[in-house]
Amino acid sequence: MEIPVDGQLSVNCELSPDAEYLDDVVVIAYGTQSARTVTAAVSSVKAEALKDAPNVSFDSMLQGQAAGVQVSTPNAGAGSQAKVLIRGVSSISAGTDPLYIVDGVPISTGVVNASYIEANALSDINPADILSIDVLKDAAATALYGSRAASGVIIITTKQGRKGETKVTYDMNIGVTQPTKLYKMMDAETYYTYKNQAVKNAYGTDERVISGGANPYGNKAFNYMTDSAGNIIRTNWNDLVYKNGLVQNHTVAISGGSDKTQYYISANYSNNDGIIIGDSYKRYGIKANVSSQVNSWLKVGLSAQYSRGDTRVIDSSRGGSVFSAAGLPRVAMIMPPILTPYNEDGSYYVMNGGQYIGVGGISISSLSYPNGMAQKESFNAIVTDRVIASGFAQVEVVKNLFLKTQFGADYMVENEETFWSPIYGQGAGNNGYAWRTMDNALSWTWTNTANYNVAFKNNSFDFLLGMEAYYDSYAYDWINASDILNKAYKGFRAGYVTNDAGGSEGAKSMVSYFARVNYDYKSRYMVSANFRRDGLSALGENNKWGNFWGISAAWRISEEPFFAPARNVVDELKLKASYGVVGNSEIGYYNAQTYYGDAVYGGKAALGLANIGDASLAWESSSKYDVGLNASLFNRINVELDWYYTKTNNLVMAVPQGPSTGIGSLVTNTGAMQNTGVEFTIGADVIRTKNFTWNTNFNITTSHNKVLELAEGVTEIYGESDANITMPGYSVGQLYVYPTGGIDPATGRRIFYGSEGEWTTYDPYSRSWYLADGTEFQGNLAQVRAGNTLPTWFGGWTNSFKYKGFDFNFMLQYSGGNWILNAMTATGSDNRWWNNFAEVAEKSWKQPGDKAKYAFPVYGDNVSNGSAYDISDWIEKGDYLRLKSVSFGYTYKTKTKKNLFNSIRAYVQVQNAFVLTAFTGLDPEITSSYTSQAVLSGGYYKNTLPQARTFTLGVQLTF
Amino acid sequence: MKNIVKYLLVALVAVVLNACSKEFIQKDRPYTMTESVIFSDADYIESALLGCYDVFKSSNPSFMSGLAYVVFDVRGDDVVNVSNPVTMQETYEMTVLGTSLENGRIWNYAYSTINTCNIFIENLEKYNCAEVIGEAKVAQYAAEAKFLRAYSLYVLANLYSQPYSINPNAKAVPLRTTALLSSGNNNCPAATISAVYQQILDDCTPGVLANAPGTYNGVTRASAAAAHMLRMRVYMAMSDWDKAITEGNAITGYSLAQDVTDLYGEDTYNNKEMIFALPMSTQDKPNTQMSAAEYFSKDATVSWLDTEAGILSNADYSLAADQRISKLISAPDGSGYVYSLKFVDKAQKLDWIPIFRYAETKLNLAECYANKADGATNAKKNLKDVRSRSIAAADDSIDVDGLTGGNLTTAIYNERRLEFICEGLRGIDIIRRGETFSKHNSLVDVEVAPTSNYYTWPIPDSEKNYNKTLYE
Repeated sequence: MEIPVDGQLSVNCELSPDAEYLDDVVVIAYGTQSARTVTAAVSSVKAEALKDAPNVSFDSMLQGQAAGVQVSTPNAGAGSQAKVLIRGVSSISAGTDPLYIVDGVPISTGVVNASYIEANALSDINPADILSIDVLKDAAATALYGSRAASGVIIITTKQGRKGETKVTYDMNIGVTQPTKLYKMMDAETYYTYKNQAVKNAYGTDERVISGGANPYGNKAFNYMTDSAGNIIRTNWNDLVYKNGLVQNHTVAISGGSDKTQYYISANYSNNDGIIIGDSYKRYGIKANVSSQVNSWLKVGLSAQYSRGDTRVIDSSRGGSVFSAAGLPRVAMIMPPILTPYNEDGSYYVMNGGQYIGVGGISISSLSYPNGMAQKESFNAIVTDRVIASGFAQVEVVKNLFLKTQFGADYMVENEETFWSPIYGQGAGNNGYAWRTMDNALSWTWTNTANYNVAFKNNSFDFLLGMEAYYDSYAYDWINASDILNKAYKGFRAGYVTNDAGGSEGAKSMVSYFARVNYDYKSRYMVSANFRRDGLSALGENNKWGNFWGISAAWRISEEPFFAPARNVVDELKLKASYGVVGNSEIGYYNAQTYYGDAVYGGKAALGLANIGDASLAWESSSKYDVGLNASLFNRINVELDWYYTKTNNLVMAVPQGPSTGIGSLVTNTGAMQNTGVEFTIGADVIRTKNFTWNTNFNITTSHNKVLELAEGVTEIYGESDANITMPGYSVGQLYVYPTGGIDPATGRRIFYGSEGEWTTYDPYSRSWYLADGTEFQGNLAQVRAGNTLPTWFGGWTNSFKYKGFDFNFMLQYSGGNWILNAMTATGSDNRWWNNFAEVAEKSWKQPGDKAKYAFPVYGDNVSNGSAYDISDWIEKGDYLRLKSVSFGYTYKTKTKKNLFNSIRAYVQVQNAFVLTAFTGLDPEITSSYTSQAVLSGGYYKNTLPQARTFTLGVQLTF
Repeated sequence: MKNIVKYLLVALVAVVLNACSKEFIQKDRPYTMTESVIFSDADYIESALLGCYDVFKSSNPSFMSGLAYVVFDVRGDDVVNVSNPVTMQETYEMTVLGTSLENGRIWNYAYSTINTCNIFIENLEKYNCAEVIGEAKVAQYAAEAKFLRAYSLYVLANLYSQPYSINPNAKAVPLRTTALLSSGNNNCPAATISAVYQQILDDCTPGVLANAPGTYNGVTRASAAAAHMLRMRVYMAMSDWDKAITEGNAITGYSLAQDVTDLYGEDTYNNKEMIFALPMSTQDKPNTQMSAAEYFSKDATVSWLDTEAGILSNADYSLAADQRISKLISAPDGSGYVYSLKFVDKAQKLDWIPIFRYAETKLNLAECYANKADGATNAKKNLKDVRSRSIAAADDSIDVDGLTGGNLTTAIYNERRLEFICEGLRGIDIIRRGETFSKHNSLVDVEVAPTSNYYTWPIPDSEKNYNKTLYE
């Protein structure tokens, strides 16, 4: 399936086999429309732009591809999902994920409902099956999806067969991944010297047991450990945790058809071995699309796919637990280089049944910490089996009046198994622990539409009337087992002393009615109006129904007679504007209800207050404005410019309550927020000759978020680690830290500013703060707002060069305007037993006059370098420019049918080749928070994996 | 034919469009109940009361069955904590900050318990439960919920407030006595320690609780004796020895168990000593790394007993003939450490949690009498009752009858340390008396006097952020 690259922003796709060749069309809600007459803000990403990438999921491939679409990859965990935002953060507590529609059917998205690790629901869609992705951004485009449209809509169209040609393609790539960056930590000698010095600074001598009793390796606080031959142990924990991964993707597809019936069938296999030990993702999938014109008035179609996703990790911090002590990225950083994870016989170097690293007395006496490597005896696995299927029948009742009924279902069975070995950490606490869940998630959508189009003279109308029913349910069962009977076994099906089981289920449902009319006069003046009414079960009794709508208009100036003289230069010029109101229904199933759940006390049934609900919970509604311009110059340059403004009212917000109220948070409608910005895209066929073409596409988006109002009596909301604050007048999730002023050159202590601006330094000996005159500081230390965490600009620049059969492509991607709290710096310079960055030995204060980055090391001090309190010294800019991908390929086509194949293309590609940034952490794009509070807790960087760099070799064969 | 099919299809769509959608979008959460159902049924009302106990105990997720129980031994000087910040190392080292993990957790669990109780108490009125279960039961249930509220406050008072004995007007913690179900209630000033203690006294109503029922000999529910015990502790903290003695003497029907080991493990209610204890079952136990066994048992290796400087370093309190040593403390392991055997079930966590037992009544009385001019005889009698249960006079290095003055007081203090080691009292005793936290062993050098900022915990930053009137 070759998609002509024509410099257009939209894609040529063959949705309607009836038509020989269509004008450029964009996919819109419940239909398609000519790109020329579309009045709404829609971006299209063509399959061509997604090719060559080794990604197993399309979400991360959207990065930089379309204006207004912001994609960030939180880390390199195999099978991790990317975060996709369309035109900014649309909500504080309700979901911010766009609605994804695959071939007309909404699918389940987001993090698969798992307990210990997360899996990406979007990775069940094989990117190689995708023909085009259309992103609906403004209200005019999205209003027909009503209450589900506030975060934008992404419509995925999968490949279809074409009549008359039977084509077999084989698409494969195989690659190696590696971490883009790792921290340089202290080696054994530096660690030994530096930590003992810190002990000496604290106690006057380093010949001291810090904790834990006798030490067979010496009488210092930190001693070299030696093996039986007397060699000093030197462990590089990065080498133990990180590895090179292997990625491969294979897709075989057959497509073709007759006049009446077309088909597309494919099968795929993907395997992504991650960059840390025990990390992998596999997918097996099959897919079929069939459509048939049964007779002159009836058309039917069926689209179905089955996939199995298999995500496995051992890293216990995979779910984004920022403080997970045993998370592998953290293990790689903090474990002392003078300790070994293994005994000489290969067994784990552990004591107390695996609870802690070491045997008896160890070379670091104060360490009560698990041996991260023993995690290899544990595992987490999520296997999802998923069917996404839809069928339709369309009847042409009278000419140009189409009635269509479509039923689509998304059914996923997710099996999760977690096993904590009795020789490691928490598993040791339970003497072996297993956790097993099964989740059946079913959603279905039944859509019925009537579509009538009529044209007379220069007027053209298109009417749509529809009704939809939507149902979403889950049934979740769990069993846990603890205290394993036979330590030879690993896994849930071994015998355990106790087994415990339970479950839950839930459902929500929605009924909708909708209508749209598009009108255009001479393809010159266009007007469109949408309306949708939704009733949703999850809302309060009297607020279940909501109305959503959008209107838009466009004027193609280039069609005006007076414009004729300019058409040599400007062959297309369109102005457009839209306004509308859409909603957000990404809220819990039962948030509006107050209810009690079962509990046990003293062997008797108890009822525990499980939720305090707001009985009047209603829609969160977003008013969206858009004004834009499309132009085409010299028939080779396309320009798009859009200004957007979104105001969200009645935010569905989990309003946090002061802890002493005894209520965690209450979900209610309150507050308002706005997002505004400009999107600019320019694409050009810079060179277009027979043998050589250069095609380029540049986009940039600005995005400014501002919270306008929070709940009554709530002037601010804090993020998860209390390192973020959200308050009216500023963008959501501002950093919120203690103000510091570096290291005092005279004393080597960290300078903290009091709430009245007082200059103080922290004394690690007395654990108190002192004023410049040496008296103890009596005032308050208070956190201050310290920077926006949302990028204010982002975009991508793609370039494609072709010379005869050769092609060369590269894509730059950029983002910035945000600030990041690099809390890893605190961890990497902590004055407890944790290993430190190699630079800490040099950059810590030694003598008066030193302009140091880190404080004078005093063993046990967890304040001066920012562990106990997040400090402003560790805030950094998040701007970056990334060479997201660069590829080089060669395509060979044969004209004769004699050859085995019609064309062959081979390429090499590098993903994440490099990143330019002043950020000193592993990657500025990484985020630490996956939780429901992610929006409130942005810009907090701690304990996460780096990104992966991937070198790929790929082949595409067409037979 | 063609037209018939067409019209049938059209009709189908029309039917769907007109289908009644009201029922389709009505969904209630399965396996849950609403308040109006619960508070109109006698069994469900009692279940909701047990829900308050469960929150107090462990559904919250580990308040009194876990962190809030072990915290006072970890703060104390008889147990060594060698773990990491997840398992209260900062508490042991007396370096807890407003951001420390255990600080926020215990605060949140306590207030969540308090609000659950407040909601229950108000619902008894709101839903007119007297019509369902009678006035007497309504009063009794409310008294039980108030007792749980009072104990939660007591935990907070002993962590966050300067002791009453040093400053009765010290700012303690916010008093929350009304049900909170909506936002806008963040502000609440810290009440004085006097006001907090008055609230606890008011909430403990032995008269109403006299008839409290309960399974397991009644020890898992608040009883008159339990209310007296909490009042007694509060009066002792206020140095009001007479009133404390009155409370102690009001506790009748209890006696010391013959064998001190009967008081620990599972099902510890089959004796006359247990006044109030929290039950455990496989369906209802503390969360990971929060149970007493996960702190104190030998397998856990989070804590061991301080034999260098703690009470066990005192020869009179480490006698081999003392059953509390021979039966409740492990033999030294390879590193020479010894562990408590009171909470051993680290894997299953089914050890019950004793909150009040009659031995405490006796040692409380002993301390109260010792503080009175003419109380030595009664003090010695009560002390001797407890000590002689575990060690025969012939084997004892202490002659209780011969103790006088300061020696008697010290002996009572020390007896409390040994008798209740790992039972959540040591840290309370230190702070109640305004003593200095003094821990000097090969692992730590901690000397924290009442004048130190680290003597009490700072109110968590998460509370300060939302509660703007805390220090008004």
